Amino acid sequence: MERSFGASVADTAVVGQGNPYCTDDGVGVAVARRLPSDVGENCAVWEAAQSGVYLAEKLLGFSRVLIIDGTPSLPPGEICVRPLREWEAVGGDRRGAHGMSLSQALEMLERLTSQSSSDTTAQSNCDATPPAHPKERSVGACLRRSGGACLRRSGEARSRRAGLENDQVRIPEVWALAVGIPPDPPFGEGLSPRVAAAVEAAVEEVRGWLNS
Amino acid sequence: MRQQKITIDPITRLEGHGKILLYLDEDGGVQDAFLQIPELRGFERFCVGRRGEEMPQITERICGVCPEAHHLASAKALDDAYGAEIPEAARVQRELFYNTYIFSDHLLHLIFLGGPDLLLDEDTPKEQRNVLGVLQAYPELGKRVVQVRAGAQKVLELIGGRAIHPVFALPGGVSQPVDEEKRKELAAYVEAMTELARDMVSFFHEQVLPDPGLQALLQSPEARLPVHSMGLVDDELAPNFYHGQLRIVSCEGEEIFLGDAREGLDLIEEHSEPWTYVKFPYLKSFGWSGLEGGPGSGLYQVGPLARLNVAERMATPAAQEEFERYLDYFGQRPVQATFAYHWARLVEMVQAAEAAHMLVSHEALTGRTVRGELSAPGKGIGVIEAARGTLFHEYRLDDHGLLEQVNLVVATTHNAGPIGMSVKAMAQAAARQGDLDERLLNRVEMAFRAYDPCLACATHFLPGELPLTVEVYASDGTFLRRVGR
Repeated sequence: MERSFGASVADTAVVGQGNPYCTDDGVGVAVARRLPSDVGENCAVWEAAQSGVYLAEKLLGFSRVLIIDGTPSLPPGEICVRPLREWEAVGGDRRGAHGMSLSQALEMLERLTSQSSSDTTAQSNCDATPPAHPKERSVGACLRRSGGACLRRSGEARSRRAGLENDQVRIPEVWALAVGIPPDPPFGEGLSPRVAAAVEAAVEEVRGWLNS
Repeated sequence: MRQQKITIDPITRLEGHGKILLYLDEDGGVQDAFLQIPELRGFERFCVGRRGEEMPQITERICGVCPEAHHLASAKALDDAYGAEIPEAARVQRELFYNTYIFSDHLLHLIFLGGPDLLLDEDTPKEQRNVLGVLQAYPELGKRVVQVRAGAQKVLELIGGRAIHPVFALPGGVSQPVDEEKRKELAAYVEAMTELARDMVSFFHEQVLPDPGLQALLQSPEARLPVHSMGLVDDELAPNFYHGQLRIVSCEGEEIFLGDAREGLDLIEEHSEPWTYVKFPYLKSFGWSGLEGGPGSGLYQVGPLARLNVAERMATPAAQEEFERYLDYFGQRPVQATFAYHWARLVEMVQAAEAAHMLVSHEALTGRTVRGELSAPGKGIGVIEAARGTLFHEYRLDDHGLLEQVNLVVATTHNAGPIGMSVKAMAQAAARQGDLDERLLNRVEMAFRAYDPCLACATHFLPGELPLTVEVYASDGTFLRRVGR
């Protein structure tokens, strides 16, 4: 299910994260599905079994994002809303072999925006790009030699929602609505009674967050 | 050597991460290494009794990394189960979608996931040896990659029907045709993909390949694995990610099998070990001879390196040129260097971009007939090349279209044995150099990451990480330490 309310390009996203076929792990999806159609203006409602960079890229361009997910860090049924980075801080250093956490991925993308001034220069004249690293000069030269596909040309085909207009990457403010779930939920549909009982309260928390 | 007592710390599927257990000998060297990864059997049982046509939407939820591969493998299994011949317009849509996914996934790995190994020196300080370090070194490239991937994601959304978790593939075809306006929009995004793919080749040869550190890795004797290779090929024996015949080539380059991909499952068996839930597939005709390579072993690998090993050519011009440079560099076939996975990924990325470019211009793309006739349900097998390797979906439906049997064999399962062997070899080499912490972790991670294994099956809790941890045990089985980040 994927819904978008209000204007054609939403400003806010609510993402129900988890697997709806894995019992309580799907509580985020259950909350997202329970949201009424008038949940808010300019609000997209998504379901996602993705995280890290895979999800972060899709969130570019939104101003605010609320991730709804289950966590065994809270007692089953307990609800907490806080900035995503605060949640991830609980887990310590999370840089893994393959992926990265969502806020790490967003941080990575945010770092790219810090290059915007030099990239703007690159748009008008690739030769003038001040390299941030000894090899970077060669990267630009390499790109020119191989057909001149500088940033401006590649940027012609970019998504508006990806927030890459004018080479500016808009990074959303991301919050997490966490619902406590038992560890190791099994495959299956439906939520356990304590988690199911928290869904309506979570929906109200989403409303409150949208109106804040 | 003292007998080891090996204990399993069960990996719950929900943790979604891998664990490597290292056992030291009495001299402090690495005697054994075991990779533990999640398994999917519970998911298969869960699916039994459900309606078959739900599977393209259900199976894509088991993996947050490659839902596109599961979506189409599932649709192909249902095509087969219903005896459907899909219309040309639907095939072109699916292939355009799928090549875009392969391009996008490979690009992500080359720069962001495998980037620390490929683009940074091994002696880069650990606090910089990550994707942020890559971006610091290559900010222009990093930003362009994000831009082009955003366009590729838009292609997936326009065809797939959703930004996340596609819904377009149905038994017998796809849900709706592509009109001319949408085709033009798709073409603009695909154009940027092909430009970047070509530029990445130049970048690789001018800035990455000459690096002495990468040269050492590509030539490293510890990072050579003599196992067989499996992958899909077209009629000209070029890799085909979406469809084709299955080809298996031995570690000595001899063709073991070429035929209907659906027969692939009949060629393999799975071996269980007491220390892991994952099953180790091996070629039935060779038998199980342990986690050892060589011409007599039944172990095989899948993924970019394997696909290039089973291919005689590439399907598109620029990819063919790069394939020839790749073969010239290694000088012999099949290529056995584990770190050649990265280069093979680049070759495939070029083919995927070029293929998408051809498909978006294909006149059949805008055809109006997008679903074929379905016959009575039965048994079906869908085989596809996920970015990480061959993916099998096997379903048996009853007369009412309900699932009686589900069997999934995913890429990382095929590669479980080779990954474990590569990890062990690299850990042993690192241990000989006397550093069992940072260097060991780096080396183990590099061997592991070369395969781009997908351990993200099923779910992501907050905070949503995919950690790899290494636990080190003494020769008497005593836990020594845990290294992770």
